[in-house]
Amino acid sequence: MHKSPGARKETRMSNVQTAHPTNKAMLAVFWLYVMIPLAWGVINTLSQAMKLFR
Amino acid sequence: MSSISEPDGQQNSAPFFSKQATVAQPGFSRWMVPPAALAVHLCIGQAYAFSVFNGPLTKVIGITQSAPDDWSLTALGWIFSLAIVFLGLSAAFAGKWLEHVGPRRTMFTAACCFGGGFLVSALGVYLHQIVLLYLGYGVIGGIGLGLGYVSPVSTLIRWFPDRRGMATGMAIMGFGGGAMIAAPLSVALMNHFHSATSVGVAETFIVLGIVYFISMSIGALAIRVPPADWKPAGWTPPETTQNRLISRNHVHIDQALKTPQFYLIWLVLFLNVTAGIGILGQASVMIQESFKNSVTAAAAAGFVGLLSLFNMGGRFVWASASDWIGRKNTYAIFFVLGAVLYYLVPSFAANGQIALFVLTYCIILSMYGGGFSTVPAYLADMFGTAFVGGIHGRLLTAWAAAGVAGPVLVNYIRAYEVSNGVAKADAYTMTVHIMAVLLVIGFICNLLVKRVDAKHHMTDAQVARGA
Repeated sequence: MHKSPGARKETRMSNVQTAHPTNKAMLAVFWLYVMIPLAWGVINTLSQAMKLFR
Repeated sequence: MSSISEPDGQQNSAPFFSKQATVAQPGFSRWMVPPAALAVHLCIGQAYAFSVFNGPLTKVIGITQSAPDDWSLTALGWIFSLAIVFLGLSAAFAGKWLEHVGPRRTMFTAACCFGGGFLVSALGVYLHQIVLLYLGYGVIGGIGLGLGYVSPVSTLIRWFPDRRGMATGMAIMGFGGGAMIAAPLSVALMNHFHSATSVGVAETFIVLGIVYFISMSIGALAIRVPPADWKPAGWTPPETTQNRLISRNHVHIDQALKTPQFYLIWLVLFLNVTAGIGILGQASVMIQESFKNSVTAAAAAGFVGLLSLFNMGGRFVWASASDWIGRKNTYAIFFVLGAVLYYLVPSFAANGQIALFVLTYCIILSMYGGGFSTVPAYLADMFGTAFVGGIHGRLLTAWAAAGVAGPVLVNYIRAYEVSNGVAKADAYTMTVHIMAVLLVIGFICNLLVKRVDAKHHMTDAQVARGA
């Protein structure tokens, strides 16, 4: 079924309203959630690796 | 930052775990996907740290020292071996299923299997039934490893068609880094739970099982797939004529297995991994024997740690570099540079040049890690992205095969040399020269990789219905 240009515009508007841009704070938190444990592991390993140069 | 900017024109009312429900809504940033993938890979990377449990598991009854009824190291060694075998099997056989159901269900299943495997293993320690550890961590956990390894990688490839190598490098770097978190965490937990009646392993397994289940589930909930025909803003796919090896077409999993390219890339991965994995397992002993009286056990442990860091870093750096220099050229560097370094390293040991010796192995291990992370992007270039998860899963049998071949080569050749009167310090010379030859063979295999014949390509209609 073909929609009239007006109806199509309305549908598009409705969809634009339902768009949910990713929250930048949430994005940062999610990255920290994985990077903090990884950094902890890397620092631990690095301190162990330093024994090679002592 | 690229995000979905075009409305898809329909409400998403599909079941939560269905593939349709994971299709990203307008406004979704693709940079949410790498941490979702990392949340899974950082957990399953724990597999490389399983050896920290071996010592305590040999004292479950005796607590302070092994009792006659305690498990032997040989019996315990099967737990990790089973996990790697089931990683390969599940990745190979679940390929079609994971493409069909999508990443959320696959990653959540992986979370249930990996976390559940720890809980079954905890019961096994509590009841002192090693069969439950084989079943728990080995079989169930191994299936979790395979599903959790492949699914986020193929999703990332679809979100980052402009930087496939960097995207897969990020996730697979997590697999390399997972052990760095798991090893100290497991030791700290075992120390915390250790008592006069328990070595603390069962309690640690329960905590890890719950933590990994939650973390992997968060990754599964956050994962999204791009809508069909989505591409990053301002990016246009490269013309086939610009780079003959990057295909715009897709090849079905079953059809991919009928191409010589699949088997050549299988050999490329197998030879690259074989050359690195045997050294990784013997690194501590090797440096102590090569530099007798000058490298202590503690310093050798530091060497192993340094190799782990380069193994992890190489996964990101080399895969990212492959976006610029091409996958085939990246592997060509691995094989040529690797063969030269393997050829030179015995002379560094003989001349007491420890800094050069360490640097050489660090570069070799970075290329070992880079081989893992570059191969999914190589497959996507050759076979398209529609079934890359399933094809990658089947290619991982090369990893399982190399996991057997690498250590066997290193250990048996060294034992043969020592039994024939060669000094321990010189016993690795023949081994590393054989590794150099393997890398030359790998170079030839890589050189033979050409564009997939058009007769294997799927039609647009077949891609649309996922046939």
